[in-house]
Amino acid sequence: MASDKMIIDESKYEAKIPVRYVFKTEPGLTERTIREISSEKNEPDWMLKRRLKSFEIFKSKPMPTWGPDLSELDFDKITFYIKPEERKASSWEELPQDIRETFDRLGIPEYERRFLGGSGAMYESEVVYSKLKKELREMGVIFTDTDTAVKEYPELVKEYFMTECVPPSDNKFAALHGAVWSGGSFIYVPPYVKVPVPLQIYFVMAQEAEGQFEHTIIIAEEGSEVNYIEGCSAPRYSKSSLHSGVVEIFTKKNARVRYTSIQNWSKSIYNLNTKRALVDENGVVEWISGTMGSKVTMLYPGSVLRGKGARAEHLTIGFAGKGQYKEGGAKIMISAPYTSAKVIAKSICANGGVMGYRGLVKINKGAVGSKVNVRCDALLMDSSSKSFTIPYNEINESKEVIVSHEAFAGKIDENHLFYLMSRGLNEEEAKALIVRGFIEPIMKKLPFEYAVELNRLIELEISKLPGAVG
Amino acid sequence: MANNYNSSDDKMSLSINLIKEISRLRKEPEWMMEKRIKAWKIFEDLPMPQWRYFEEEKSKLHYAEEWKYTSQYFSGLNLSKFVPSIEFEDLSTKELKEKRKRSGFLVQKNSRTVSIALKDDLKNKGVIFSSLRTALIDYPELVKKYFMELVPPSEDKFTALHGALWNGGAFLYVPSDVELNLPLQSSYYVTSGKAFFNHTLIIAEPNSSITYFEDYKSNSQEQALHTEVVEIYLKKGSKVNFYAIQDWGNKIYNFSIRRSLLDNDSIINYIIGFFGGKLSRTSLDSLLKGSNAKSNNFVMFFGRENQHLDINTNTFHEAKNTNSQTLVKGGLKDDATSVYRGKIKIDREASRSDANLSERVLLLSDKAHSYAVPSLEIENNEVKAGHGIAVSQIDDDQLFYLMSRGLKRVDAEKLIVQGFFEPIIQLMPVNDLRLKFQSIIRDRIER
Repeated sequence: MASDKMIIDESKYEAKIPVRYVFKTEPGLTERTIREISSEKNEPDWMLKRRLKSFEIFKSKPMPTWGPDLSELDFDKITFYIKPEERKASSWEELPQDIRETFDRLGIPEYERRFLGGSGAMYESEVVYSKLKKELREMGVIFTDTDTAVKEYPELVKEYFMTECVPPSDNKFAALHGAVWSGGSFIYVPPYVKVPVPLQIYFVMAQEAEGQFEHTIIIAEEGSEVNYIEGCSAPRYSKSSLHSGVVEIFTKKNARVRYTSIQNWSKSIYNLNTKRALVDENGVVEWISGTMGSKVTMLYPGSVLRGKGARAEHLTIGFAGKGQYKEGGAKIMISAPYTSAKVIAKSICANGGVMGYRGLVKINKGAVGSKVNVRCDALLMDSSSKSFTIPYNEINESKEVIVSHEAFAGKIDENHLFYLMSRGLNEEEAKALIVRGFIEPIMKKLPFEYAVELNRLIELEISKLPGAVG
Repeated sequence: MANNYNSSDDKMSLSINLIKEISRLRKEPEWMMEKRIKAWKIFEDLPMPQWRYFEEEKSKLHYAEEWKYTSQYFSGLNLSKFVPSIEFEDLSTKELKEKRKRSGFLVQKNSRTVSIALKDDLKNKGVIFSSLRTALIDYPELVKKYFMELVPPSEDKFTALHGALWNGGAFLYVPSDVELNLPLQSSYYVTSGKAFFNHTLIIAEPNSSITYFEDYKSNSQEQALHTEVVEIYLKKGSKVNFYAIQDWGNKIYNFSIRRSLLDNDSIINYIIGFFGGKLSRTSLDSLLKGSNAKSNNFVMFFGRENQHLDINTNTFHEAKNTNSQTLVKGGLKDDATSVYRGKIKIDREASRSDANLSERVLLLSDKAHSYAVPSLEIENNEVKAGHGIAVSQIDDDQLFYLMSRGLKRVDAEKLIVQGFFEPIIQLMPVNDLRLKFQSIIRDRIER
């Protein structure tokens, strides 16, 4: 199949969309902006209070001085809230033509038609389209946007929103998020309900110099199962935009959550997220992510294994091309006995891109018999790219604990390349095949459409490489 | 001739005047005094390393990632308490009889040279081996050319203090094509005093070959500060084996940096036994500046009681076809903590380089802590680089096997731990050094 070279239209992934909005805040961030956002959304008082408190924390925290250069990020130029013209439509046909076209390009309706149980799309800062199969609703599953959840399920939101999982004091960008958050998914799965189909959302950022701060909460009650998929994209503009989302996952006893995200922001976006899961007894959380886009990414999904026998699995693929500086990683924090975690991070750098792994494994007292294995592999496609691996391992319990970390970085093996070329593939095809093999373990776990999209994006980047190998 | 100052004088404290006085009494050249003063000023300017900045000090932000996990111990540490004694040896120290199995040796007790020797045939070939203080007077130009060029005082606060107050240490110069068949040994003993700052310079001219062994011991119960800087310059085709055992008493704060600069085709082999001190930090650095240069770093550590051991290895590949291998193995018992940061950086120019790093830690108690931060930074795609760490306990299967053969549990454990270190010890070609390492490890496990 490798000889069927796919023709890739890059513009498809960076489509610009006409601007439609009914309300937007002035660029920059003041207390007034936050009050405006809150009143525009008709929020209850307690949420405004939380926003203002987060803002105080944001102001008091310094910018991180480690990792990528954030000096070009100017909070005064960013529009923190944009409300699109359309309110939520519950069927595809109700959406205006241009928005529909964008989603068409991104392939959303196809997914929806085929097999998706519920699907939401977040355009600018608001959710514009979402649908949930009737039978799910009957099971008691809640799948809505977080703004609606604030109004309809205030007790749930009060309990779970930025409290024990990701408090605003966690980091500067979590605090910023707490102050200006808007949109995102809210998922509640009642005890012993297994959601049979994946729930899906797509985020689009269409404006220049925009901030998007979606907040996603997934609550999987005891014995339940849910599979959530999100995709992100944005057209390319010259001014930098900021994306700073927060994802909070609560995996209760014996529950199982799979969180899949495919990020393909355009290369003008700062992508600084905080994602974390709290996992109770025998719970399982799986993080699967592919990150292709953005200018700067700092993303370290965390799993807090706090119940006996809890498990976490992190699988990530990262690709850094020209002008990209991306840091990914996994934070595994263990405080309960007989837990286990596995991290596989694969990264590919090409055309001068920088891709790094920065991770943490923290084993607290009492985490008897826990096992953690971390594996990071980096493939460097040319000599101008850069890769780094900085894992932190903090081990405070010694009983039956096994922690291991392995990393490897290098280029495509010339013997492999030679073999494939001797079998009749040209160099480009052979390279693409090797790269596909490299990321295979993660691709297998992705839904088919996403795997195809990711494959195409990687092929696109490889086709841009200068001819000769090494 | 001996100039003795009473260091227990309470009025004496660290100051620029003290530094001038030391330099004058030691009859140092003017430029050295200036260097000391400059280092002192850097010392005064630099804050104590801390990795977390505090809100109220945002303006004075000093972020030192590499001190994470260790800087927390500095809160009760007042550096100005550690005043070095201003007493030193007579310059005309008489030379003792040659020890067998050594090319030469140097013994310093409380930073004073007690004895020094070098085989006559090596002397005739132009090898220079002396205390750094003597070298400063006999070969000022050589010392000036190399002193603190590789490890500048601005490195950190402790190194700056070292630059201002250095007192003990050795100087070794080996001319081109000279090979030392037997090891050279420097032994440092501390019986009293508060502060020791050893500086060692090793210059290996083209195609020379050196085996150098350093040994630190103390029986003092006083709280003391020890800093060490070793600068090793390897010219084209030279080879240096650098072995060391650090076995300080449990009241000593110890900060050491050993750094080598490697020209084309040169090789450095470090084997370090890192055992003593209340808080000990060591840095083992190789700058691979010449093509085909090679660096092998082996560290063994064993922590007990409430020791805090902080081990750093930094390997910078800056030229083509360079090669490095790092292996750190350690055991921890009681409340001991180990921190390991291993860094490999491969520059854009360093194509066809190969780097590998691994750490293995055996936790032998419930209260021991281990932190590890291996890092890879790679800017060239024509390289191979990898790292791995593993933290675990004594393997049950191994234990079971030995016990089934009739060993008691404690003996079986002891044997396994000793066997754990053995692969590194066997890399040393000198038999009596192997025995020395083995006996120290045995002693550490038992006590």
